Amino acid sequence: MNNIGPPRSQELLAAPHGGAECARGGPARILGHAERIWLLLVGLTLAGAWLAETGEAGWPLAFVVAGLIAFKGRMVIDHYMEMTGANTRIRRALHLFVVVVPLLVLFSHGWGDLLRRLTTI
Amino acid sequence: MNIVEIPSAATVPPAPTSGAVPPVPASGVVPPERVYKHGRVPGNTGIWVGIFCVLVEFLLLFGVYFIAKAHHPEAFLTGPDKLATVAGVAITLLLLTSGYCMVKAVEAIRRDARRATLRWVALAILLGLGYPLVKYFEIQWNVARGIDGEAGIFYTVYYYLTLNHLVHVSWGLLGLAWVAVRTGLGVYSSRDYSGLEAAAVYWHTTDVIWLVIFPFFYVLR
Repeated sequence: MNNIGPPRSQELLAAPHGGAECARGGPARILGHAERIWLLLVGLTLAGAWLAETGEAGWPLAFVVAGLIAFKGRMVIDHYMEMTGANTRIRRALHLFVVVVPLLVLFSHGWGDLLRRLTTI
Repeated sequence: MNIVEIPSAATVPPAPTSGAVPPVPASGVVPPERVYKHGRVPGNTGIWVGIFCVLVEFLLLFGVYFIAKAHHPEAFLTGPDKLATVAGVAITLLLLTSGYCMVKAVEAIRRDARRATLRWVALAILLGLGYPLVKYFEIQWNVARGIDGEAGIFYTVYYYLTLNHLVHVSWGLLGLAWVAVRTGLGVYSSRDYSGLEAAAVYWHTTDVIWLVIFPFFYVLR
């Protein structure tokens, strides 16, 4: 019966968004978990903006873009949507979304000719 | 969806719960709980039906993007150069920050801090409203440079996908407005905030989709 049922509010306060360090008697942090995730996402977005201005078309750019989609998507899903301890089917389906799309980015970059042939009527 | 019925006739002290679990009656006798076999469902099951419909819809639209790119690689190589990257970055930051506000709103309602919850939801709406505003100015900027829906295949797909996303964000904003009103009326508490959480997870879904759309049109070549 593990992992069944809704968590109690105290458990939700304890994880995953933090704020529980004080409740557990641990050291308080200046930035909470949600703030650190937000800062990370903002930093990666600005890195993406820099790439948009300077990046040259090629495999490195395709890999970086695929990585950014996968990582940022996973961050939002796990930490904003609190999927780490949620329903396994929903969690896996969401994770699949941010795996499939980056793979399609790489596929369309490397095998664009094949995709064109497959989709030519 | 499998539901496990947990018989519980014992008298237990009321424990704070979230989501769609029925409240503990005054008698202190906990009725059989309806919990899902595969773990907690944030928000409610209905919102997840909607969310997965949206994800499938956008997967199909991404398919259109990839196929168009495969057939017209040169258009997708040069297309991003003419778009205003700053608009895409601004929309990304607005959505991420608005999503952060909804995280804080859910945290606040778990502490029964209703005024703080309302403030976070209001801030999330305010930031979310920045998206259509930025999009309006972006389209004005585009049209002034001859970039309309008929400027080429890249821009046709760009308008098709981004405006479709804007429609879904608009629904999300309406949902946030609805939960703001209900938060103000004191409907949500640490014992039942499934409606607020459902709006939050939908809002985060629009985030996830935009995190794909942004590099497609502004970064990738």
